[in-house]
Amino acid sequence: MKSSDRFTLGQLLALCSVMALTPALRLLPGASAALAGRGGWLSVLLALPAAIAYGAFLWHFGQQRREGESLPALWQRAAGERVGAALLMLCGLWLLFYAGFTLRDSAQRLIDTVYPHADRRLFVLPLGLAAAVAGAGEARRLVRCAKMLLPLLVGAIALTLLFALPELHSDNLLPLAGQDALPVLKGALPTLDVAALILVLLFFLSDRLIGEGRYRSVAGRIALLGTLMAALTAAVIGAFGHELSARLTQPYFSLVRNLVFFHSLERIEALLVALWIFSDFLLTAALLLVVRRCLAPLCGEKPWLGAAIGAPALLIGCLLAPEAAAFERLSSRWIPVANAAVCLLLIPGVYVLGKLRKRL
Amino acid sequence: MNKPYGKALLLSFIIIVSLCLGGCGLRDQAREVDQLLVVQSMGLDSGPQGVLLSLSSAGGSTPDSPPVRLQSAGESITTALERVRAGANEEELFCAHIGHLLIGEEAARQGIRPALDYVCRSGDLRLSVPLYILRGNTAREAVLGAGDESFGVCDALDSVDADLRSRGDGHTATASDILRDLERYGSALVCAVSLRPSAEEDRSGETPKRPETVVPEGYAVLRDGVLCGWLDRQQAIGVGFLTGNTGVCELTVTDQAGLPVTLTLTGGSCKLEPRWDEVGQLAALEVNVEAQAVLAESKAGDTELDYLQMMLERSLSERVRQVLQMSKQWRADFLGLEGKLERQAPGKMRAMTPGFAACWPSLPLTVSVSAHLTGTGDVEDWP
Repeated sequence: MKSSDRFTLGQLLALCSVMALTPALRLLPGASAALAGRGGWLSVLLALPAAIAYGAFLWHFGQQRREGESLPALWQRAAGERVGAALLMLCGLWLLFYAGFTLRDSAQRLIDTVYPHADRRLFVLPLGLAAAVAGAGEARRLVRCAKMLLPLLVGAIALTLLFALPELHSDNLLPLAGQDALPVLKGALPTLDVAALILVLLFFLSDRLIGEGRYRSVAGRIALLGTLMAALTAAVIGAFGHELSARLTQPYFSLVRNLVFFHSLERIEALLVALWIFSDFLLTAALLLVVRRCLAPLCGEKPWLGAAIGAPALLIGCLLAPEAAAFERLSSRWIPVANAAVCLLLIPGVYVLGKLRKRL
Repeated sequence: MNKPYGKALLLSFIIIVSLCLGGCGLRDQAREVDQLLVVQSMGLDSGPQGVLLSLSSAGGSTPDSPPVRLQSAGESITTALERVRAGANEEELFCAHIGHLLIGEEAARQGIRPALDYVCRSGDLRLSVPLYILRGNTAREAVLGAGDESFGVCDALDSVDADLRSRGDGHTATASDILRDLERYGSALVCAVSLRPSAEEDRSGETPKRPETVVPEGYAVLRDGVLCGWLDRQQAIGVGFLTGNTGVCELTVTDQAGLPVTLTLTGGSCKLEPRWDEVGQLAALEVNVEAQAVLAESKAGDTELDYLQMMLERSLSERVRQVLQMSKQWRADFLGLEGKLERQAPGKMRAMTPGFAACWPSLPLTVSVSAHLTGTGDVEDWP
């Protein structure tokens, strides 16, 4: 066992749960409402069986690993040494781009909610540097950090949902008719997109755990987190209606901005947005760590590799879509499509290739 | 460097950086609370330049801290606000606690979409901010003119908001409610207010005078974001039944002798019964209203409850009919009837061609009202 892998599946799932909050809040309430209308909350729940099935596939793929074989090595065995390395590099480059995009997304969230007109680089650079340092280190540090942060973030969501209850209008959530079936199914795509990304990270970070743990606990965590996200989506759509939820760039934080606690405490959105920086930090660091693992067969386990891959992520974060409107288009249209291509086509493609070549 | 020393160094670094993150002491970003001018009401009017902006803070607890009233003009709300900021030298404007947004009648006739769009985009304003439309006045007249040294428009609007929470003849709608209804039904109800002399006399000056205040005036009806009509407080009672916002409100009817009798409506409900034809189109709509009321005040001692009940039913029926007729006439489903019918028969409503909006103006309606009137508290019901 590598020293970096000294953590349990439960701890790793805590990391995945914290990481999921960043893309979930970016996509789910708004995109689900836009695609599924008032049934957006149901879409999130409907995506869960597909997410659990995709996780089961990745788990099964990971179990094909031989004794002492790493997951990148498994890829190379399945797809052939050169093709496998090329596909790993492709996957790694995508995750590297996603790390830069996450930095930009974090900055945009802060600009939209608390610091209007601020320079995005002011947020991208410190977060990117911190994530690069963490991403160059060992996975167990991220995992332990997530274990501490998870109750804080979930507690914050639960508290806001509780205080948002009086704001909800049932006619914003119901009724649903047969005509809603197709839009509600379409609305499941953003949830599946988020789940796929996080499950791919789990796949690359879990290594030995795939052989030891049970998938039931992963499926249980997907169901729990999905239910929380469905509740969050229901709160947003229930408060604003699906029409307005689809138009808002940060609908969850707009909901938080409306909340008044005990007739005295209000405008806590800045505090809550600040908490999400932890999720951004862990996601970026984990992405960089996985990129390092993907590139290791090509570059070897060089000590400089960890630091070197942080630089392009920072550059992407600083240069990507300077205009807010351009970022919104990228975030809602192109990133989910590209992510789906990598997670739902490229990785299953490697598995199919391995089966066809009778190497799995 | 050994490990414990490294950790201590890292911890020190984190603590120092954390202290800087608060923003205090860096680039003069710290602000004292008493230096802030906390704006609580914003008024918007249309003017030759574009937007006429008026702002007011709440009245203080002592006469030494009267409400501060500011005004400005600009091509947009943002530019007008920036001019106010530039003009307010002594105190810094703090707009994160704006609790009321008033729009003048003329500005509302030109459309309130720009104001709603500003609320959505602004980092300061909340989507839960209540909106009011001034009937017969500009918002500036209310924001700058309402109240005196001890109270301002914010206090008056707080009072309106608190009053309407329990009443059935008015309701305050928030920016998000209005945006949602405009998107969903193409029309929306906004709380209407007007400027009236206050009930209290201002004795702070040498010559006693009655300061003006803001009072509820029913509803303003928006269609496609533009003001298309008004519903007074009596018609607002009908709106209360049709939208499910029933509460306490007074209604005056006449007894058999022609004398006025005041009844207090205490609650009620409304049921919609759609009639569908054989091709699945909405053919007619039955509106069944149930109301509970108590006798509040009568000039004649032996008023017959059955007769008053009949008069109450007639009076309520008239109000409900009027409101429905106006909705048809203005081609504006401000009552959200489509949503209510959709809850009963979602499949049929979605399958309707043409949609509800197209068939609503010519839809046959039947209104029936059933009221239950009782005597009040300590007094026994009349025989």
